[in-house]
Amino acid sequence: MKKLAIQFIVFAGSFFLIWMGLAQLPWTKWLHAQNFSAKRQKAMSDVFIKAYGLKNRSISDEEVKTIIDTIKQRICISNKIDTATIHIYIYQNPEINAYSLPGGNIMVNTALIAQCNNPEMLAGVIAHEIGHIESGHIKKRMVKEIALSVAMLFGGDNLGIIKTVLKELSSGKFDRTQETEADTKAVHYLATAGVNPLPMADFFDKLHRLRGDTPEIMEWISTHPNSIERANLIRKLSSKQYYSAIISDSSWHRLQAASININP
Amino acid sequence: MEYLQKPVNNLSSYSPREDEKEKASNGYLMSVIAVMAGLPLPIINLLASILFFLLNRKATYYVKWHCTQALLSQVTIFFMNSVAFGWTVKIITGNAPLTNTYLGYLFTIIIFNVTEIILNISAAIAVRKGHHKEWWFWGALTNRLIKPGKQ
Repeated sequence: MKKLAIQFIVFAGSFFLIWMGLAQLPWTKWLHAQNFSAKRQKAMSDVFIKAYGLKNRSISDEEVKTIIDTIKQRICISNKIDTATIHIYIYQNPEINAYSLPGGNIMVNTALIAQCNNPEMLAGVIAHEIGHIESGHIKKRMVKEIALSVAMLFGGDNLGIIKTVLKELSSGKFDRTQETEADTKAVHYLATAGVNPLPMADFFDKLHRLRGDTPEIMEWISTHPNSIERANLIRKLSSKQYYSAIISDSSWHRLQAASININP
Repeated sequence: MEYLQKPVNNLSSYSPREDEKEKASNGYLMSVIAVMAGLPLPIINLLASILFFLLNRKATYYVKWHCTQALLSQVTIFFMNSVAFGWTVKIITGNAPLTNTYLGYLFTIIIFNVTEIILNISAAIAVRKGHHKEWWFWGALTNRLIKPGKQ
């Protein structure tokens, strides 16, 4: 038994010694791995954009893109978030839904924009999704998706597997803690950007009211439970201060018109 | 199939029958093939070795001893590879940074995996020829776990 114990210690010790010895070598420098994270993010984005057919189904109207970009810039710059890491796509889809995907991609369906009464409601939804991204919720969920791990390891461009995982990811099933965290961050982002967060609470109320009437369009709220509680939390976190309009009325009408034309 | 045999006290001087040599040798070969088929998923080679071990649990002491040695080496490699697998997934999904420590670990387990494959192949050849092959540490551990069978 003593001999076995000594052999085990020598075995384990040699393993750790080799590991620690090799860890001293500048592998990341030799392998030019410093840019790995950025490259990975870009590769991941490309895979999801391809899988979703985003080039064909997202609104390509330059004016609409500029309006959305204005909202993104206002939230991100005020909160010191790198705008290059967030990509917002207006997705032609009749379902009221918005969700974040790996690679900093935020999908906002045209039906959701059509249901917003003002640009601050939309800004609230976008800020909420940015909150998920900045809190690393997408990454945490991805770890749980073993299918994605396998997809990334065995077939980074295997669209069939990626689409299956996308279906799961786009269901937006974050847990309550993550939703609360994203809501809290959203209120903070909006307040810092000088955008009124209260319409975000109104949006939750509106979706809650609509729930019984139009169940087929309630995907967003059904996967984000306790909307009344969340609306109350947003109101509680909101402070009374001066808020300015995030975009002009004309820009908002232009954006809504573009969304309603697709989802009449 | 269960074989009746004389009690074996010293495997080094034991002359195995032809079918024993083949089965014992296959225990190592199974590990090698499963490692090649299963990488980078660490569980495949372990499952293959467990399956082979279970199929031969009623075999002779000589066969059981070598299947156990092959299985124990697989279990060790399984734990090493599992850590690497989990760590890699974390890096891919952005939950851990890519560091020299990680890459050092990766190259360490590559060394251990390659060594283990070489050991398995050499053991498979030696055992097929009827020579007893007792590895350092795993051999001693096998001796602790597998006792000579009774007639």
